[in-house]
Amino acid sequence: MEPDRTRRRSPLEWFQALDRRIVYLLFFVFVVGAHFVPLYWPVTPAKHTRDLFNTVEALPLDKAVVVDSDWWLGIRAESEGQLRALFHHVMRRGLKLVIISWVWGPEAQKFAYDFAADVAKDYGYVYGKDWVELSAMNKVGGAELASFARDIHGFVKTDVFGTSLDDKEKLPMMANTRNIYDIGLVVSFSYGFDTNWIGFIQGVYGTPFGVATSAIESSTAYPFIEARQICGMMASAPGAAEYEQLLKLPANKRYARQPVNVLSLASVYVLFGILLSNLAYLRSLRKKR
Amino acid sequence: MNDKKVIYLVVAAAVVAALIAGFLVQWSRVKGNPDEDLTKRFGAWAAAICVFAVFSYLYSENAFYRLFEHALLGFGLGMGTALTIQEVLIDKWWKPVTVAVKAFYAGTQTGQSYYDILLILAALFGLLLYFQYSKKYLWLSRITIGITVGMGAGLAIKGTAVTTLPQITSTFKMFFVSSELAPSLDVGGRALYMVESFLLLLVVCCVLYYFFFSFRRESAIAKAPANLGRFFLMISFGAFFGNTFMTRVVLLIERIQFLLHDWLMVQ
Repeated sequence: MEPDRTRRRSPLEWFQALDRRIVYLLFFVFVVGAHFVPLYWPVTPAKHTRDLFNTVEALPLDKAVVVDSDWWLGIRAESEGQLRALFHHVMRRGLKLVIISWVWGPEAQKFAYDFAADVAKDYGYVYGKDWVELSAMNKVGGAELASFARDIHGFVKTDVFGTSLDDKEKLPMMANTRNIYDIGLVVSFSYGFDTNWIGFIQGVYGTPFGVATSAIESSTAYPFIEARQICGMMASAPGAAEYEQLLKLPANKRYARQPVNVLSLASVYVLFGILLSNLAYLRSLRKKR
Repeated sequence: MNDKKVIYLVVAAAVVAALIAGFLVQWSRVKGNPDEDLTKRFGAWAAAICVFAVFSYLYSENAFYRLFEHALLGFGLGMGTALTIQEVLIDKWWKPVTVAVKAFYAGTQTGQSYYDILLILAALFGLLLYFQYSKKYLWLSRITIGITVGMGAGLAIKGTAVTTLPQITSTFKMFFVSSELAPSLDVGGRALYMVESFLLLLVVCCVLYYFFFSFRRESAIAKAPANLGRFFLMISFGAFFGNTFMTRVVLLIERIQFLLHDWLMVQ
């Protein structure tokens, strides 16, 4: 039987038949528009964010913090705010900072350096004396972490500029940072997180291990948090915004604030869409019956 | 040339002309700004074109998208090859080996030189893999594969044991927590802990039961825990999906921020 084309469609029917391209376009326009809405939603730090904050807060000043920069440019929206927030905390506390990166992640190496150098200006941190970025390492299933833990100088050899880690004039900080016992905390910044840090470092030496992940992978961290293998987590941009809140950073230093605001508004759009499409679907089912 | 192709060409020419005009107008405005230079501006415009090329896929599959998709794959592969040569073969093999060989030649070898000279063996092991192309000497490549798989298995067993065992023990929770055991918790805190412990046990048992297929579940009592397990799984999948959505939207937000702030320079 031919459908009756003369019949006027109800708004819900019209909505159900809406071209997906229009939905995408409206979403794009909505997200662009949300950037100009000066509405900031309240941020309440989650327990795992507070745990990471408290771990950094309790670290002794003679221990260094290792930041594992293992992300890719596609998740810069999540990682930049997280990295900057942790750098602020480490430098505010006056802790030594060691950044490590990997051969196949040159962008993570470059941007981690840039962000740390930018935050360092606020605290008068000097490269080589207060913080160092090591040359890229090669991932080989955890063996590299075992070697790193035993002898940083012997395994990594140089910093990102090719300076020997034994050079006490250019990198005086590294004279007292030789193995895992000189490190108070490892924080992995990545899309997911490398469980080898637990298998070869946290589980073996007991060094606290924190993570800063994308939202997708944050769910996989909960069993490790429950088992206290991970001491705390910054989950995606909201996690970074929570950390910034704990640090009480001024508005111009809060990189995660605007994305989280836009994300909240975008969620309203999506929830509205889900609600309407489900209503339309239920109505169509009733009509069929 | 048919009419459709002419229209495409005219539209493409108009878009290119508009982009060049836009770039020149913006450059004339920011010229002289110490934070700006031609390379940075050009990079921002090139990146913006890439973003629109990829987003054009949302409208439909098209040649513009495919061109940039292939370019991305090509750049990725090229960069991966260059990084492997520079940062692995040259920095981690060639440089230490040549330094060690020179030290031995000059008679100034150190403990490190003995270690570095052994890297020649690593290269030989690696080269054995190329015997995959020879039917007669294929067995030689298996030596390298065997060593690699053996090392991987050893590391994986060690890593997995240390990673997984604490999670098993952490599922053993106390149901009744007295004030002596947890002096920092008040009555409400202790009650919450007990509820959490009970919930954890319930979820673990029901989900494990759902995946237990050794006997047929026929009665309602036998089906109930499995249904409950499936319900708990759905809740966790919902949380996963919510997080997936969040990451995807944050990625879009970052690109829009790039287009607004870095490309169009809207403050």
